[in-house]
Amino acid sequence: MSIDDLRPVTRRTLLAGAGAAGLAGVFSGCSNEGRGGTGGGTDKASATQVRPAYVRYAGVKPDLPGSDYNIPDAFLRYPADPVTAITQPPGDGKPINVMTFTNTPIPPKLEQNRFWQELDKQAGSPISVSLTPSVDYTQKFATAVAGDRLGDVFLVGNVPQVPQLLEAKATDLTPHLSGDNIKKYPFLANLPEVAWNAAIFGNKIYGVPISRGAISSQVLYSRADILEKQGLKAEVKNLDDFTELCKQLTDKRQNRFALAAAPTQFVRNMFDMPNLWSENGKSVVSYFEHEAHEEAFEILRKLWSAGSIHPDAFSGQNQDLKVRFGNGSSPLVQDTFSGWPSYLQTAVDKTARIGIIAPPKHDGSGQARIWLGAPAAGFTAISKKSEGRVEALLSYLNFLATPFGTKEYLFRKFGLRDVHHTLVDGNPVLTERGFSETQLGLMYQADGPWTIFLPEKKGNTEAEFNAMKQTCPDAIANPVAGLYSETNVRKGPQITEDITQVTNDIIQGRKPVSAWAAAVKKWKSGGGDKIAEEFSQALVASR
Amino acid sequence: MTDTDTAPPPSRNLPIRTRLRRDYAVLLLALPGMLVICAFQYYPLWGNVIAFQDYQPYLGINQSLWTGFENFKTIVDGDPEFLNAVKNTLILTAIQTVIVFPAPIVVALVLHSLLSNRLRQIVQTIIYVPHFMSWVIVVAVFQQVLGGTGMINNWLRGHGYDPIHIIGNVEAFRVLLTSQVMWKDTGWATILFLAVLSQIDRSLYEASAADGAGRWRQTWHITLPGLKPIIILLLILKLGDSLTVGFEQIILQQPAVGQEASEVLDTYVYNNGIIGGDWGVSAAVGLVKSVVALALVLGANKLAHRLGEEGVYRG
Repeated sequence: MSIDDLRPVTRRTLLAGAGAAGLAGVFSGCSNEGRGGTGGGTDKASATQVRPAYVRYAGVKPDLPGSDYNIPDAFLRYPADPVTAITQPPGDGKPINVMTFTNTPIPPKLEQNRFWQELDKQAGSPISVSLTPSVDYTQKFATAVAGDRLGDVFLVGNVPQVPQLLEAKATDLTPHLSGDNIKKYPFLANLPEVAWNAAIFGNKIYGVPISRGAISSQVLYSRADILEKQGLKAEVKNLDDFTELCKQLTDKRQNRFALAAAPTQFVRNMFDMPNLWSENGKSVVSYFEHEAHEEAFEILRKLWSAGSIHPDAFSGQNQDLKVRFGNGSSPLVQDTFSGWPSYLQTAVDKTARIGIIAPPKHDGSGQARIWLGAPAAGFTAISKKSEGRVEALLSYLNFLATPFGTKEYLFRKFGLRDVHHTLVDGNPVLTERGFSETQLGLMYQADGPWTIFLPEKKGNTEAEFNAMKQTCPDAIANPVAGLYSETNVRKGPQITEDITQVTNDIIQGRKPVSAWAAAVKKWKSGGGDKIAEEFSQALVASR
Repeated sequence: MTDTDTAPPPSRNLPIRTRLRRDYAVLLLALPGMLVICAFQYYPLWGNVIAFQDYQPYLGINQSLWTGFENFKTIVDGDPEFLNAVKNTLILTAIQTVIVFPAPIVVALVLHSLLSNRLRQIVQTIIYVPHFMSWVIVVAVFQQVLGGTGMINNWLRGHGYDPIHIIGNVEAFRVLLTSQVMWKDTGWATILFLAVLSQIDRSLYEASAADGAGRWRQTWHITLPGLKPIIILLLILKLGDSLTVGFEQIILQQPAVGQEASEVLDTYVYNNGIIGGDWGVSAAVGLVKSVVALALVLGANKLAHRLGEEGVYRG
């Protein structure tokens, strides 16, 4: 639910130029400031012509409206009489094969899965899903493309030449979704405008975005109950407060380490580093070039050598941060706001309480700004081979995008009453069976706009809403989120991996802090400069 | 190894029809296996043509552009990442040949010299069980024992000592890989040697004992010569595998130590091709690797014949 949201979303609107020679014509990218950004309406050129109309769903009134803060709406209770949003099953009776990723355990198979059986009934088509853990999805996607085994509906992986790939393999959805055409699918029309940038390449709409935004911003979670028990305050005012808190929460003899993994982003936030890229006139500059890195590393090194970071934080296996947080062996963990429900669902200790620690500026001169999550966590396309069924498949996605307050949403997220969920104070709470059977990756096929609704435990909805209200409105957006750079998909993973390795080595004291400058230089010459150049061009083109 | 190995020599001179009539039952029995080999070993070989293409998975082999030997430039020009992978592969190959390969021979000799049959069987069973575990399990077991919060380090911390950094430590990585391979496969490889040992004529030992030979002399003059053909056979086959040093095992542990220390040819092909999208270059590297391995096996086999050994087969 959350790890994938951390991955930089790099496939985006087409940049006409280097590496994208396969398509003719001049394309315009889309500006994509994120919900907290200044733009949103700056797209000129062709993209605006195909852009789907936005029709907000007005069926429910949120208890805590978030639109003023650019955060999701929050609901304290589920409507007792949910609206039936879809009267006709969307499917055409023929099987729908879906390929997407998941971040939760694989569900029981169809014969033993009441939820799945009911889903097939409501969808009007047998749904078969091919699920891959999100971290391995790119590989799976690449091989599925090579073997020509993409399903009818597939989440587009982070591979090179996405625009050309889509042209060859995906159905052009522009005639169905552009402008007012989308009104035929009212719940797709309810997706935030900025999220569509992810799925528009050049002049064509190639998919339906998995809308996220502020909810996928990364923050520091804390086990409020453990902090309280030790008489510690969750409020940190400067760097020293933070290191002191970590020290207090560490007890090596008890095998307890304050942080489940290195709090790299949290520390970088304290030093006001830009969200991956920053604008500098007409060009963009990577945050790698920010001058405060060495200072930030000193802090991280201290945390590591003091034993405040879990010793397995850097080894490949056993990276289950949720387990460490859940069992209290690491009461602090970095994750996205969207991870909150799964922390509740996987909590071992019933008395566990979740809190958020907002990053302060390192010198104590106020609250630091976090990084705003990307507007979309990806997008799903429809295979060219299934072009003849495109209306049924879009209707299926429309069904999956039904928002909070509808019967369909209630079913999708919580299954059947007394089988998959029980009513607690009038609100649906997943049972163990419900948690295992509902994991069909539906939220990564299509989803309504994110809603904060945490019925598992009283007070959590308000807690998350308030934490977001506190941190998100002035969060830093990534100026190139939504833009496409071919070098970034082709070379990016490799050179990012290299520099991440140097980062890890420095934090663990295996390399001196001075190694950073050389690593950045290598990153730049190995492709970083080219990526910056391509993003700059795309940014200019989008204005 | 073909049926001509075991058939009496004159059969070569018989007309093919006579041989077919005589052997058809045996050939029929071999047919299903041959089909499987053709379908899964020979047919996929055609995929190697992408080494000469700018292959794009969404275009497929038929529509991707032909680029001749363009992809082989990475190898010829010595791309630093490629060279790093070659370096790591060769180092690991050297370690595996010098340390891992002889290990089962030593274990077999020790087991063979054990008097009690029962004890030998118990030990043998215990040491060959890890062979049946997948690499995921083996890596997880090592993590649980040696990891930062593994058994050993938890104990050390609990008793006020400093933990030892093993998993994720670049310096210890090769030792770790080698220990994993040995733990997993030494016992299994021992079986072959034990089988050969049991076939050595007992009377040779008795005769040598009568001549006053001690344990060491017996080992040197009877046991090792008895093992020689199998050792040479395995060594030649090992050469064919020499550039393959454990893909799954390494890819699982790569995030912990980074690519510089852990990238080998197989992971390079995977990371560069499937993840990085350079399918053509990766296929070229894989192809060259296979050609080199084939040349090594054929060359070593020839050499073995020159030295008067059986080798793998006679052509």
